[in-house]
Amino acid sequence: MKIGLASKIYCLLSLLETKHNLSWADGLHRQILMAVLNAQCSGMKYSNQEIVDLNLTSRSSTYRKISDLKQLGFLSEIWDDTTCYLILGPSAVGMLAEADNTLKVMSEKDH
Amino acid sequence: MRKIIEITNEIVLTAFFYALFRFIQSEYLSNSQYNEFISIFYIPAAIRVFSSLLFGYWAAAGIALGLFVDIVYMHPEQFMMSEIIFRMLQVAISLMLSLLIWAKLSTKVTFISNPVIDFEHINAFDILQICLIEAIFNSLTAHIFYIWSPTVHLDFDLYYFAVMLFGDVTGSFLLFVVANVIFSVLKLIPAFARKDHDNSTNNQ
Repeated sequence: MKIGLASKIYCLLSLLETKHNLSWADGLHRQILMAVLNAQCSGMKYSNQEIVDLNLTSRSSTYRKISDLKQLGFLSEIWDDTTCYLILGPSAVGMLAEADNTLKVMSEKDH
Repeated sequence: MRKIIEITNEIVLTAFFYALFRFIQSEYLSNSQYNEFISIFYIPAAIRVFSSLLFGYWAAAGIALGLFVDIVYMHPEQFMMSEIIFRMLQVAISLMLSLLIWAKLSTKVTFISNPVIDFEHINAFDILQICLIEAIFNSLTAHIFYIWSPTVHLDFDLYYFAVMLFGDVTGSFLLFVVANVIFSVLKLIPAFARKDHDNSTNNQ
Protein backbone atom coordinates (compact mmCIF):
# COMPACT_ATOMS: atom_id res chain seq x y z
CA MET A 1 0.00 0.00 0.00
CA LYS A 2 1.37 3.43 -0.95
CA ILE A 3 1.30 5.90 1.93
CA GLY A 4 2.11 9.61 2.01
CA LEU A 5 5.27 11.24 3.31
CA ALA A 6 3.53 12.59 6.43
CA SER A 7 2.26 9.10 7.33
CA LYS A 8 5.72 7.60 6.79
CA ILE A 9 7.28 10.20 9.10
CA TYR A 10 4.49 9.64 11.64
CA CYS A 11 5.12 5.86 11.56
CA LEU A 12 8.87 6.35 12.06
CA LEU A 13 8.50 8.88 14.87
CA SER A 14 5.91 6.92 16.83
CA LEU A 15 7.58 3.57 16.25
CA LEU A 16 9.06 3.11 19.74
CA GLU A 17 5.83 4.09 21.45
CA THR A 18 3.43 1.97 19.40
CA LYS A 19 5.55 -1.08 18.59
CA HIS A 20 7.73 -1.37 21.68
CA ASN A 21 5.20 -0.67 24.39
CA LEU A 22 6.62 2.67 25.50
CA SER A 23 3.12 3.99 26.17
CA TRP A 24 2.73 7.10 28.22
CA ALA A 25 1.36 7.36 31.74
CA ASP A 26 -2.25 8.17 30.92
CA GLY A 27 -2.44 5.12 28.65
CA LEU A 28 -1.08 2.87 31.39
CA HIS A 29 -3.44 4.19 34.06
CA ARG A 30 -6.30 3.49 31.68
CA GLN A 31 -5.01 -0.02 30.91
CA ILE A 32 -4.83 -0.91 34.60
CA LEU A 33 -8.29 0.52 35.27
CA MET A 34 -9.71 -1.38 32.28
CA ALA A 35 -8.14 -4.63 33.52
CA VAL A 36 -9.75 -4.19 36.95
CA LEU A 37 -13.10 -3.23 35.37
CA ASN A 38 -13.07 -6.21 33.00
CA ALA A 39 -12.17 -8.56 35.85
CA GLN A 40 -14.97 -7.17 38.03
CA CYS A 41 -17.49 -7.46 35.15
CA SER A 42 -16.64 -11.14 34.82
CA GLY A 43 -16.95 -11.70 38.58
CA MET A 44 -13.21 -11.87 39.32
CA LYS A 45 -10.84 -9.76 41.34
CA TYR A 46 -7.21 -8.98 40.57
CA SER A 47 -4.57 -8.76 43.28
CA ASN A 48 -1.67 -6.30 42.98
CA GLN A 49 0.58 -9.15 41.88
CA GLU A 50 -1.86 -10.28 39.18
CA ILE A 51 -1.94 -6.76 37.73
CA VAL A 52 1.87 -6.79 37.66
CA ASP A 53 1.74 -10.19 35.91
CA LEU A 54 -0.28 -8.62 33.08
CA ASN A 55 3.06 -7.04 32.06
CA LEU A 56 1.54 -3.71 31.10
CA THR A 57 4.74 -2.02 32.21
CA SER A 58 7.51 -2.60 34.76
CA ARG A 59 6.67 -3.77 38.29
CA SER A 60 7.57 -0.46 39.99
CA SER A 61 5.73 1.58 37.36
CA THR A 62 2.60 -0.60 37.77
CA TYR A 63 2.66 -0.06 41.55
CA ARG A 64 3.01 3.70 41.01
CA LYS A 65 0.04 3.72 38.63
CA ILE A 66 -2.07 1.66 41.08
CA SER A 67 -1.15 4.08 43.85
CA ASP A 68 -2.18 7.07 41.66
CA LEU A 69 -5.50 5.40 40.85
CA LYS A 70 -6.15 4.68 44.55
CA GLN A 71 -5.36 8.27 45.49
CA LEU A 72 -7.82 9.58 42.91
CA GLY A 73 -10.47 7.15 44.12
CA PHE A 74 -10.62 5.14 40.90
CA LEU A 75 -9.45 1.99 42.70
CA SER A 76 -10.09 0.67 46.19
CA GLU A 77 -8.52 -2.27 47.91
CA ILE A 78 -10.09 -5.12 49.83
CA TRP A 79 -8.12 -7.62 51.88
CA ASP A 80 -8.66 -11.35 51.91
CA ASP A 81 -6.34 -12.78 54.59
CA THR A 82 -2.96 -11.58 53.37
CA THR A 83 -3.91 -10.82 49.77
CA CYS A 84 -4.87 -7.32 48.70
CA TYR A 85 -7.43 -7.27 45.89
CA LEU A 86 -8.24 -4.26 43.73
CA ILE A 87 -11.79 -3.22 42.94
CA LEU A 88 -13.27 -0.13 41.32
CA GLY A 89 -13.22 2.86 43.65
CA PRO A 90 -16.00 5.41 44.32
CA SER A 91 -14.80 7.80 41.57
CA ALA A 92 -14.87 5.06 38.94
CA VAL A 93 -18.24 3.77 40.12
CA GLY A 94 -19.58 7.36 40.09
CA MET A 95 -18.29 7.90 36.58
CA LEU A 96 -19.81 4.63 35.37
CA ALA A 97 -23.16 5.50 36.98
CA GLU A 98 -23.06 8.93 35.35
CA ALA A 99 -22.24 7.37 31.99
CA ASP A 100 -25.02 4.86 32.54
CA ASN A 101 -27.53 7.62 33.28
CA THR A 102 -26.46 9.54 30.17
CA LEU A 103 -26.92 6.41 28.09
CA LYS A 104 -30.35 5.86 29.65
CA VAL A 105 -31.41 9.44 28.81
CA MET A 106 -30.09 9.01 25.26
CA SER A 107 -31.96 5.77 24.76
CA GLU A 108 -35.15 7.31 26.23
CA LYS A 109 -34.83 10.20 23.76
CA ASP A 110 -34.49 7.69 20.92
CA HIS A 111 -37.71 6.04 21.96
CA MET B 1 5.60 16.56 -14.60
CA ARG B 2 4.15 16.15 -11.11
CA LYS B 3 6.56 13.27 -10.49
CA ILE B 4 9.54 15.46 -11.51
CA ILE B 5 8.45 18.21 -9.09
CA GLU B 6 7.97 15.61 -6.34
CA ILE B 7 11.45 14.12 -6.88
CA THR B 8 13.05 17.59 -7.06
CA ASN B 9 11.39 18.49 -3.75
CA GLU B 10 12.67 15.27 -2.17
CA ILE B 11 16.22 15.91 -3.38
CA VAL B 12 16.23 19.54 -2.25
CA LEU B 13 14.70 18.65 1.14
CA THR B 14 17.28 15.91 1.72
CA ALA B 15 20.13 18.20 0.60
CA PHE B 16 18.94 20.97 2.92
CA PHE B 17 18.73 18.72 5.98
CA TYR B 18 22.02 16.96 5.20
CA ALA B 19 23.84 20.30 4.84
CA LEU B 20 22.12 21.57 8.01
CA PHE B 21 23.08 18.51 10.06
CA ARG B 22 26.69 18.66 8.78
CA PHE B 23 26.72 22.32 9.83
CA ILE B 24 25.40 21.42 13.33
CA GLN B 25 27.94 18.58 13.55
CA SER B 26 30.92 20.77 12.72
CA GLU B 27 29.79 23.84 14.68
CA TYR B 28 28.25 22.38 17.82
CA LEU B 29 29.35 18.75 18.11
CA SER B 30 33.05 19.24 17.53
CA ASN B 31 33.69 17.54 20.92
CA SER B 32 32.63 14.25 19.40
CA GLN B 33 35.18 14.56 16.58
CA TYR B 34 37.88 11.93 16.91
CA ASN B 35 39.95 13.68 14.26
CA GLU B 36 39.21 15.98 11.33
CA PHE B 37 37.35 13.29 9.37
CA ILE B 38 36.10 10.82 11.97
CA SER B 39 33.50 11.34 14.69
CA ILE B 40 32.21 9.05 17.43
CA PHE B 41 28.71 10.57 17.17
CA TYR B 42 27.90 11.60 13.62
CA ILE B 43 24.36 12.99 13.30
CA PRO B 44 24.27 13.51 9.48
CA ALA B 45 24.21 9.68 9.30
CA ALA B 46 20.62 9.91 10.59
CA ILE B 47 19.64 12.01 7.56
CA ARG B 48 21.26 9.45 5.25
CA VAL B 49 19.27 6.62 6.84
CA PHE B 50 15.91 8.37 7.12
CA SER B 51 16.02 10.03 3.71
CA SER B 52 16.72 6.63 2.16
CA LEU B 53 13.75 5.17 4.07
CA LEU B 54 11.46 7.99 3.02
CA PHE B 55 12.60 8.72 -0.54
CA GLY B 56 14.38 5.55 -1.68
CA TYR B 57 17.31 5.80 -4.10
CA TRP B 58 16.55 9.46 -4.94
CA ALA B 59 17.80 10.37 -1.46
CA ALA B 60 21.31 9.57 -2.74
CA ALA B 61 21.14 12.58 -5.09
CA GLY B 62 19.97 14.80 -2.23
CA ILE B 63 22.76 13.61 0.05
CA ALA B 64 25.37 14.22 -2.67
CA LEU B 65 23.95 17.71 -3.27
CA GLY B 66 23.92 18.50 0.47
CA LEU B 67 27.52 17.36 0.77
CA PHE B 68 28.49 19.51 -2.21
CA VAL B 69 26.87 22.59 -0.64
CA ASP B 70 28.67 21.91 2.64
CA ILE B 71 32.18 21.21 1.38
CA VAL B 72 32.13 23.90 -1.31
CA TYR B 73 30.19 26.77 0.30
CA MET B 74 29.61 26.24 4.02
CA HIS B 75 32.88 24.68 5.16
CA PRO B 76 35.18 24.92 2.13
CA GLU B 77 37.73 22.11 2.20
CA GLN B 78 40.89 22.17 0.14
CA PHE B 79 39.77 19.41 -2.19
CA MET B 80 40.43 19.25 -5.91
CA MET B 81 37.42 19.01 -8.23
CA SER B 82 38.09 15.30 -8.85
CA GLU B 83 38.09 14.69 -5.08
CA ILE B 84 34.81 16.56 -4.62
CA ILE B 85 33.19 14.46 -7.36
CA PHE B 86 34.61 11.23 -5.88
CA ARG B 87 33.37 12.24 -2.41
CA MET B 88 29.86 12.98 -3.71
CA LEU B 89 29.80 9.69 -5.59
CA GLN B 90 31.05 7.90 -2.48
CA VAL B 91 28.16 9.04 -0.23
CA ALA B 92 25.59 8.47 -2.97
CA ILE B 93 26.85 4.98 -3.85
CA SER B 94 27.17 3.93 -0.19
CA LEU B 95 23.57 5.03 0.46
CA MET B 96 22.24 3.24 -2.63
CA LEU B 97 24.19 0.08 -1.84
CA SER B 98 23.02 0.01 1.78
CA LEU B 99 19.38 0.49 0.73
CA LEU B 100 19.76 -2.23 -1.91
CA ILE B 101 21.27 -4.70 0.58
CA TRP B 102 18.63 -3.88 3.21
CA ALA B 103 15.83 -4.32 0.64
CA LYS B 104 17.33 -7.71 -0.20
CA LEU B 105 17.72 -8.79 3.46
CA SER B 106 14.57 -7.39 5.03
CA THR B 107 11.24 -9.18 4.76
CA LYS B 108 9.45 -5.86 5.20
CA VAL B 109 10.65 -4.38 1.92
CA THR B 110 9.18 -5.35 -1.43
CA PHE B 111 10.71 -4.53 -4.83
CA ILE B 112 14.42 -3.96 -5.03
CA SER B 113 14.58 -1.50 -7.93
CA ASN B 114 12.12 0.85 -6.18
CA PRO B 115 11.90 -0.31 -2.55
CA VAL B 116 8.45 -0.17 -0.96
CA ILE B 117 8.81 -0.32 2.81
CA ASP B 118 6.00 -1.71 4.95
CA PHE B 119 5.94 1.18 7.42
CA GLU B 120 3.03 -0.35 9.33
CA HIS B 121 5.14 -3.33 10.33
CA ILE B 122 8.75 -2.17 10.64
CA ASN B 123 10.12 -2.01 14.17
CA ALA B 124 13.16 -0.58 15.95
CA PHE B 125 15.27 -3.62 15.05
CA ASP B 126 14.66 -2.98 11.35
CA ILE B 127 15.81 0.61 11.84
CA LEU B 128 18.89 -0.63 13.71
CA GLN B 129 19.57 -3.05 10.85
CA ILE B 130 19.50 -0.30 8.19
CA CYS B 131 21.59 1.97 10.46
CA LEU B 132 24.22 -0.79 10.74
CA ILE B 133 24.24 -1.60 7.02
CA GLU B 134 24.47 2.09 6.13
CA ALA B 135 27.29 2.60 8.65
CA ILE B 136 29.27 -0.34 7.25
CA PHE B 137 28.98 0.81 3.64
CA ASN B 138 29.62 4.45 4.43
CA SER B 139 32.68 3.71 6.59
CA LEU B 140 34.05 1.36 3.96
CA THR B 141 33.59 3.69 0.99
CA ALA B 142 34.71 6.75 2.98
CA HIS B 143 37.92 4.92 3.87
CA ILE B 144 38.49 4.09 0.22
CA PHE B 145 38.10 7.81 -0.50
CA TYR B 146 40.48 8.84 2.32
CA ILE B 147 43.09 6.36 1.12
CA TRP B 148 42.75 7.46 -2.51
CA SER B 149 42.45 11.21 -1.90
CA PRO B 150 45.75 13.04 -2.56
CA THR B 151 44.71 15.72 -0.03
CA VAL B 152 43.85 13.39 2.89
CA HIS B 153 46.01 10.40 1.99
CA LEU B 154 45.13 8.31 5.03
CA ASP B 155 46.58 4.83 5.50
CA PHE B 156 43.96 2.20 6.19
CA ASP B 157 43.48 1.83 9.91
CA LEU B 158 41.03 -0.71 11.31
CA TYR B 159 40.64 1.35 14.49
CA TYR B 160 39.65 4.48 12.54
CA PHE B 161 37.25 2.34 10.52
CA ALA B 162 35.65 0.97 13.72
CA VAL B 163 35.34 4.47 15.24
CA MET B 164 33.69 5.79 12.09
CA LEU B 165 31.30 2.85 11.99
CA PHE B 166 30.43 3.38 15.66
CA GLY B 167 29.88 7.11 15.04
CA ASP B 168 27.51 6.45 12.17
CA VAL B 169 25.47 3.88 14.12
CA THR B 170 25.21 6.00 17.28
CA GLY B 171 24.47 9.16 15.27
CA SER B 172 21.64 7.60 13.30
CA PHE B 173 20.10 5.24 15.86
CA LEU B 174 20.36 7.50 18.91
CA LEU B 175 18.87 10.36 16.94
CA PHE B 176 16.01 8.05 15.95
CA VAL B 177 15.41 7.23 19.64
CA VAL B 178 15.61 10.90 20.66
CA ALA B 179 13.25 11.94 17.82
CA ASN B 180 10.76 9.27 18.96
CA VAL B 181 10.88 10.45 22.56
CA ILE B 182 10.46 14.12 21.57
CA PHE B 183 7.55 13.21 19.29
CA SER B 184 5.85 11.20 22.05
CA VAL B 185 6.22 14.12 24.45
CA LEU B 186 4.82 16.52 21.84
CA LYS B 187 1.83 14.25 21.38
CA LEU B 188 0.90 14.89 24.99
CA ILE B 189 0.17 18.50 24.00
CA PRO B 190 -3.52 18.50 23.01
CA ALA B 191 -3.03 20.82 20.02
CA PHE B 192 -0.40 18.50 18.58
CA ALA B 193 -2.11 15.17 19.28
CA ARG B 194 -3.46 13.42 16.21
CA LYS B 195 -6.77 11.60 16.19
CA ASP B 196 -5.07 8.28 15.25
CA HIS B 197 -3.04 8.46 18.44
CA ASP B 198 -6.12 9.12 20.56
CA ASN B 199 -7.87 6.16 18.99
CA SER B 200 -4.91 3.89 19.53
CA THR B 201 -4.64 4.79 23.21
CA ASN B 202 -8.39 4.34 23.64
CA ASN B 203 -8.13 0.89 22.10
CA GLN B 204 -5.46 -0.02 24.60
